[in-house]
Amino acid sequence: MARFGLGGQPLPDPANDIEYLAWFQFPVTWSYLSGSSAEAAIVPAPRPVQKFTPAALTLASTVTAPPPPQVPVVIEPVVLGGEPRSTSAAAQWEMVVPKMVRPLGKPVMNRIAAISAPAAVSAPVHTPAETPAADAAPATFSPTFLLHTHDDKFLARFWPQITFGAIIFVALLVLIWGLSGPAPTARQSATESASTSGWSRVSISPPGRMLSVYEPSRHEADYRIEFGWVPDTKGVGWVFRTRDGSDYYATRLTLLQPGVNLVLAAEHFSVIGGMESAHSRKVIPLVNTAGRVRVRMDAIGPGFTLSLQDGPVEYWTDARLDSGAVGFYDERGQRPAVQSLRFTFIQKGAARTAVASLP
Amino acid sequence: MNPFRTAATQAAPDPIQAALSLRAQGRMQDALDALSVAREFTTDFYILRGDLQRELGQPREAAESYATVTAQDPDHMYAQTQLGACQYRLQQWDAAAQAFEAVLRFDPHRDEIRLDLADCLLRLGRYGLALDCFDKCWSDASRQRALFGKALALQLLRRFDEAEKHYERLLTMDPTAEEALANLIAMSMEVFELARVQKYSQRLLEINARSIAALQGLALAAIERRDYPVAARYFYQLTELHPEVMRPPAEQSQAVEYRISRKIFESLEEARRKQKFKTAHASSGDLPR
Repeated sequence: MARFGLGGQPLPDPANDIEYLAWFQFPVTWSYLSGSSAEAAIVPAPRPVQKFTPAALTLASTVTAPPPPQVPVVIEPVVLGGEPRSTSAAAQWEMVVPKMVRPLGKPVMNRIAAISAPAAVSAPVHTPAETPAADAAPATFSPTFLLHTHDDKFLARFWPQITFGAIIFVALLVLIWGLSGPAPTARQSATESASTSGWSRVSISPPGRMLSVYEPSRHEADYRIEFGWVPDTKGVGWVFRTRDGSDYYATRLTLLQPGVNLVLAAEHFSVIGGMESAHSRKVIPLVNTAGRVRVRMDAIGPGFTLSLQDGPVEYWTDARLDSGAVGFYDERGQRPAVQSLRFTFIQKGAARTAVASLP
Repeated sequence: MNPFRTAATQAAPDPIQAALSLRAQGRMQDALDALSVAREFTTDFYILRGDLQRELGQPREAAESYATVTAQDPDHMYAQTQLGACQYRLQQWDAAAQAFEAVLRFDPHRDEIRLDLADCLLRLGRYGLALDCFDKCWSDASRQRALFGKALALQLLRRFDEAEKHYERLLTMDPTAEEALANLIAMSMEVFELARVQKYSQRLLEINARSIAALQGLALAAIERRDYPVAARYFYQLTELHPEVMRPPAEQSQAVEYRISRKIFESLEEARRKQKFKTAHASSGDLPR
C-alpha cells in the first residue's frame, strides 16, 4: 500500500490509495508570558536535529514553526522638526523638541542613593586650594619667648572673673525665661503641632482603621518610602496611592517569630470603593537580623517593590490607583513605631527627599 | 478694552487641561485634537499626547511622542516604559528591548518589564539572554511566567531535558497551562518521541477537548502506529475544528506533511457518516441504538 510518499501533493488517485495530504504543525508559542493569547507568539524553533528515523517513511518534512512575525516597520523614534505624520486626528502636529530642564544625568536609583546621603555630599573636604591661610603663611617668622599668646594671657589672668560673670548671666536668663515665657501646656502643644505638621489623621474604611496621611504627598504618584522598624507584635502598616478613605493600597509587616532569625509576614491588599481585596501574604525569614529592620518600598508606575534590609522581598503590580498620598495606618489605636522615616518623590526623572517623623 | 478679546481669552483654556478634561469624559479623539493648538511643547504635552495616541490605537504615533521625551530625558521612566510597550506592539523587538533595558537600569526589580524584555529577546533569537532574564525574575507574581519562560528558552536552546523538567514543574503549579503541554508536544515532535507526543497530547486533551495541538499529536501518533480507526477519529475532530490542516501552509517546510491513505480516508468517511447519523437522530429526538 502506497501509504506515504515523498513528493509533491498527489492528486487523488484510487490506484495508489492516496487521498489527502495533511500538514501538522507544532509551533512553539509563549502567549503564557503575557497572559494574552491574542498575541500568541509563534517562534522559530531551531531546526531539529534528525536524530530519529521516521516510522515507515511517514515524515516527508521536518518539524519547525513559522518564523516570528517580524513586521518590516522602521520607526523614526523622534521626528524633530519634520513633517507631521498623518493621524486620524484632523489636526496637524508640529513636533518640536521641548526645551526641558535636563535632570541629573544619572539613573533615578542612583539619584535616590545620592540624595539619601546628603551628609556625605556636604561634608567639608579640606583641600589645599581651600586653605589659603596655610599657603599664605610666611616662610620665616620671629621667635617669641613669651609663655602665652595675647589671648592666652588674658584668659589666664582673668578666668575666675569670666566664669563668675558667665554664671550670673545664665542665671539671669533662666530667671527671665521662667517669668515671661508661655505656660508649660502651651509650649507642649506648640511642640506637638510642629512635629505633626504635614500629617493629618483620618478614619478610613473599614471602620476602626485610622490613617496618618503625609499631606505633602497628596498629589504624588511615584515614590519611595523608607523607614526603620523594630519588629514588635503591633506590626507596621502603611498605605500608598491613597486617593481617599475608600481607595488606597496598603502593605503590612507583622512579626511571626522574634529572635535573631526573624520571621516576618508581609501582606498587601487594596481597598477600592471601600471594598477590601483579599490579602496577599508572604512569609519572609530574615537571617542574622537583630534590632531594627530597614524597610523600603518603591511605588513606581503600576509596580510595587518591597525591600527589607536592602534586599527585595516582594513585587506586585496594580494599575488601578495611579497617584495619591502615602501614610501609615493602624487599627484599634495601635500606632506603629517607625524610625528614620524618609520619603523620596520621583517626578519626571528627578527625585526629592523628605525626612519626616510620624506624629 | 475689547470685550470680545477678553471673552476669547477666557474661552481658550490650557490645551493640556482641556485635553485632560476631554479624556476624563472618554473623548480621546477630541482630547487629541485639543492638544493640537498647544503652543508649549513640554514633557507633559508629549506624554499626554502619547497616552492619547496609544489609547486611540496609534502605537506608531505614540512611540514618536514618547521617544521625543526619552530623547531629551533618557531617565524618564514612564516614557521609556510606554515607548517600549509601543515598540513591542509594533513588533520592533530590538528597539523595545532597548527601552525595557533602560527602565530596568532605573528599577531592576520590575519583573513585568523584565518579562517583556525576555519576550523581545526570544523573538530576536537571543535565547541565552532571555534565559538570564527569566532567571533574574524573583517575585511571586512572576514566578509561573518566569518558569514557563525558562522552560521555553531551554527548549529553544535545545536543552530538552531541562526544559521538560521546568515545564513539569510549571504544570505542578498550574495544571491548566495548556501552552506548556503544547510546547512539550512540539518538543517531543522535534525528537520524534511518539510515546511522549501521545502522553502530552492526551494530557492536553483532558484540559481542552478542542486543542488543535493535542488532536494533531494524537492523530499523528495513531497514524504512526497504524491504528487507523483511532487516527481517523482524531483526524476527523481535527478537520472539523481546524480545516487548515488539509491546506498547505505558507511555508511547507514548517509542517509535518502526512499523506493520508485511503484506509484512513475510509475510516474518516465512516466516522463522518456516524457523526452525521448521530446528529440527525439527536436533532429529531430519536437516539441511535
